Formats: sequence, C-alpha cells, structure tokens
Amino acid sequence: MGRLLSFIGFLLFAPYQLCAALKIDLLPPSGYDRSAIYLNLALFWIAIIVLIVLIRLKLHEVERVQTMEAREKEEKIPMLD
Amino acid sequence: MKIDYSLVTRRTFLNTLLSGWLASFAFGSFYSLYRFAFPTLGKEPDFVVLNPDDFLAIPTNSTKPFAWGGKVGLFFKKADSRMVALKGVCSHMECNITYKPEDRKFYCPCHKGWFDEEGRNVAGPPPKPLEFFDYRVEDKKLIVYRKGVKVELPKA
Amino acid sequence: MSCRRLKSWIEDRYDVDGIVELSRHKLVPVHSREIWYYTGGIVLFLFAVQFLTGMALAFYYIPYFEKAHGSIIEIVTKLNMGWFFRSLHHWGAQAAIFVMFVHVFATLLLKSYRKPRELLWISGFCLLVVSIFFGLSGYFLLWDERAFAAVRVATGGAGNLPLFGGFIKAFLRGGIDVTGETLVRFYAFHVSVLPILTLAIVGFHILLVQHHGMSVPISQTGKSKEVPFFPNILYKDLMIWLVVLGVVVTLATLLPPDIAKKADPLAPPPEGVKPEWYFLFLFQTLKLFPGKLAGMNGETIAIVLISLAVLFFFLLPFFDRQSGRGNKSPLFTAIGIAYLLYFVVMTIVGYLT
Repeated sequence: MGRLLSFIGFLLFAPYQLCAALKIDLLPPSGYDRSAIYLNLALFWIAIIVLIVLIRLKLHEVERVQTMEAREKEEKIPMLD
Repeated sequence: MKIDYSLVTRRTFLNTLLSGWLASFAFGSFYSLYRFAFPTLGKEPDFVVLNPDDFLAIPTNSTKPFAWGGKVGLFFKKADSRMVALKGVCSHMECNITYKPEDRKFYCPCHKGWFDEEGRNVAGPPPKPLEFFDYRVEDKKLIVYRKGVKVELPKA
Repeated sequence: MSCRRLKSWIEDRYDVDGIVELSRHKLVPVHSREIWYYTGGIVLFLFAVQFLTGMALAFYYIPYFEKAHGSIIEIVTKLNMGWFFRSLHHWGAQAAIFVMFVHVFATLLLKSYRKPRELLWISGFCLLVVSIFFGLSGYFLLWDERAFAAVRVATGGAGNLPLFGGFIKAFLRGGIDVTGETLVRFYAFHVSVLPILTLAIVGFHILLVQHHGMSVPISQTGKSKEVPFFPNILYKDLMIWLVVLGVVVTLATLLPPDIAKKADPLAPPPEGVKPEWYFLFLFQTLKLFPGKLAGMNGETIAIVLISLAVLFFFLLPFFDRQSGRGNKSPLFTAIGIAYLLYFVVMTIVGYLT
C-alpha cells in the first residue's frame, strides 16, 4: 500500500522532478541529470505496464461476463419436446 | 475480524483501480504538458539595477520611465528637485499612467483617473494610491527596490 | 451520488440509450489476420499526439526566418521540458509516417480496398499525401542547413512534374526560390491548412469505416466470428496505444534530434545531405535513370514513370476487378508485394548510399 502510494506520488511529481533537473541544464547528455531522466523513463514504463495489466484484467472480466451471458442465453432457448 | 461477504463487488474494485490509475497516469502526463505550455507565470522583480547617469539628471517636474519586470516604472523629479521612484501603473485596471507637468498630477487615460505628486488617488475611479519604490546608488549602480526588500547584489 | 444525477440530467435531454444500443452493434471480425486492424487506430493515436505536441510547440515557435532557428533553440534549452516535447513531436512524426506506411501496405495486401471500400482507399491515399506534406513542411520549419537544402530539392523536384509542375513549385515556394516567404507559407500549411484537411479527411475515412465495418480478407471469409467493439476491441486498442506511447516516449527521451546550423540561402548545401527517409525511395529511383535515355531527358522519363506508378497505385481498386467480385486476385497480390519490396529496398539503398 505504501509502495503503491509512493508510485503514484512519483508519477504525479516525476514531471516536476524532471523540470527541476532540467531548469539548470540543457539537453540530456550531461552528468548527473541523466540519471533523473532514466529513472523517470523507467517509472513511466512501469506505469504503462501496470495500466496495461489493469486493462487486461478488465478485458478478461468483460469477456468472462460475455461468455456467461452467451451460455445463459443458450440454456434458456425453449425446446419443443 | 473476518467478514463473509465482500465490501465491494469485483466490478467496482476493478473499475476503481483502472479508472484511478488511468486518471493519475493522464494527470502526470498532461502535467508536464501544462508546465511546458504555461511557463513562469511571471512575478514582478524585487529590484532592478539601472544606470544612475540616465536618471538622476532629468529636469525638474518631469518623469523618466524604466523597466520594472514587464511593467513600467517611473523616476519622478518633483518641482522641489526631490527624486522618487514609483510604479507607473494605475491602481484601477493597471493601465500605464502619464505625468502632466502643468497640473503636477499623474493621469490615467483609461478611465480618467488622477493621482497627485504624492501618489494619492485624488479623482476618478482609482481605489488606491500609487506604489512607490526606494532607491539608492551603490558603486555606479542605481538600485530601485520595492519597499522593505533587502537587496544583495552579487559581486560580479 | 452526483454521478447518477449527472447521468439522469443527460438522459433527460439526449438519447443515450440509443447511442449505447448503436455502439453495441459495432462488431469486429476475429481471425488470423486481425492484428492488421489495429494499424489504423495507431496512426490515429499518433496523429493525436502530434496535434497535442504541435499545439504546445506553436506557443513558442517564431515563423520569421531570422528568428525561427533561434526560437527552436530557445524551446530546447530554456523551457520546462521543451527538449522533450520537441523530441516527442519529431519521433511522433517518424512513427506516424512509418505506421501509416504499414497501414497502407497492409490494406494493399489484404485487399481491403476492394468493393465496396474504394472510397476508403482514395481518402486514405489523400491522407498519405497530406501526411508526407506535413512531414516536409514541419521539417522545413527548423530553418537549418539540411532542411533548407531538402526543401529546395523537394520543391524543385515537384517542379519537374508534367503539366502542373511549375505551378506547384511556385505555389509551394511562394515565389521563384525558397525564401523566408516559403517559411511563412509552410508554417501556414503545417499548423492551419493541413490540420483542417486532416480532420476533414480523417473524419470521412473513419465514418466510412463505421459504415462499412472492417473488411475481412478474402482468404478468411466465412471463417471469422465477431466480437463487439465496445469494450473488447477498444481495450485492446488502448493497450496497444499505450505501448506505442511508451515506445515513442522512449525514443524521444533517449535519442533527441539535433539541429544543424542556421540556413544561409546563398551557401551551398552541406555534405551528404539527404531528404527524410520517406522520400528516399523517390530520389533513389531518380538516380537510377541515366542523364539521357533514348534521346530524351532521363529525369523527365523517371518522373513520368513515377507519376504513372503513383497514379496506378491511387486507382488500384478500380483496376482490381477480381477482388471486387470477392475472388482471390493473385496478380494484384503480386503487384502489391512488388510495390512493397520496391519501397523497402529503395529506401534502404537510399539510406545506405
């Protein structure tokens, strides 16, 4: 939970971090600023991957419900006996 | 304490997680765009440095403008040769004011506001007096600063 | 809960249920070639990214030739994340044009252009031309040595087109030669004319897709089941778009583009100057033809041949009768592969030489 919050915090403040680091310097290739950029890039990818995982969870859930509904419709077909 | 039922449905849980994460992701991404599109929401400077020769020798009962951040400041030599510096901006709607030497008053043409030599609002809509600055001369530099601000010039 | 009240406010006034019902009917076929369906959406997403970053950059870019180069350097050095958004705009453009070519060749080889979708092909071709012009005009805005030389060559080349060449050249350049007026003109194209054209044609293109539905390749007809677009395919779209975003952001962060020296109209072009990669196949083709061929100017012949090939490409749905009837059309598959191979090989050769 704490880690989740710190991830979210990082995400919200990462751009700020990036801006701060870059205000003193220009283009990426220069000394210690580079680590801030790589760190933020890694965090960005982690955020994207988490988002993709969540969307996939939602997709599987939706598909599960859809197949369940399809099966129910199949079972409800009135048969002429 | 273990409960037999779930407090949230699977659907609510998943939806909240997904939309929450999506919202923070979008916020984080667009925040950097916002910082880029709206740069330094400009502050006024605390002080400016000018050349004393340009300002101290102006004729009496006249003003000379100088740059105060993005706004205009005025050096004003009164009729009794006392010099003051003020922000040349009307306290009503921030139009630039002008000095009328024959009336010895400052005039704002936007809504016909008048200020006297001491900057008091005497006629028209302006609600407050003009803002004055302090100034001093320090080794060939004229420093104009907001009242109460301590100015430390870097040893260049 | 306020969400519920907001929902009922909207439902009182608009037929939300009707729209939901309509969207439920949008179905997408599922088969072994379905991955190519996503290319169009990726291009759309990348264009949205370009619009956003482009609008942000337009706040700071100065389209006056004395100041243009300097304004870009200001953006890159002085503004918060300026280097990043310029870089993102650059890589977004490269990715958009690349995926657009993938989309074009996928629809070509899967024969999605066949009846009844001919207008999709036509509008798509127009979008391809618009995008390439986006790329050219955007590149010129740098006003550096390379861009200047590239545009001089490109507009000069356009001038050699039969019939309309001279007019097109003058229209693009805003005069006889490439000058500061060309810069203003290209800026107007890039931020105003082309975006509005894009919106109009993309709107039409997507409308047609909604109307016709997704085309099923001839080899897969009858073998596909269908899946609702909302939300199944939309979620898949979103996942793919997120990955694309990640890739473009990574490229933008790790490989920011540079800018050459400020352009000097009187100076010769720099050594080894090349046009952007999506023009390479054209220029490589021009190089193939000798100066004089059978007594006629080689370059003119080359340009005529290229124009004919492009025209044929443009009108392909009307030539391919077989697939229009729903039959396999191996001749046009071969033609499609030939176009693709030619494009890829010529681009690579142009890049390496």
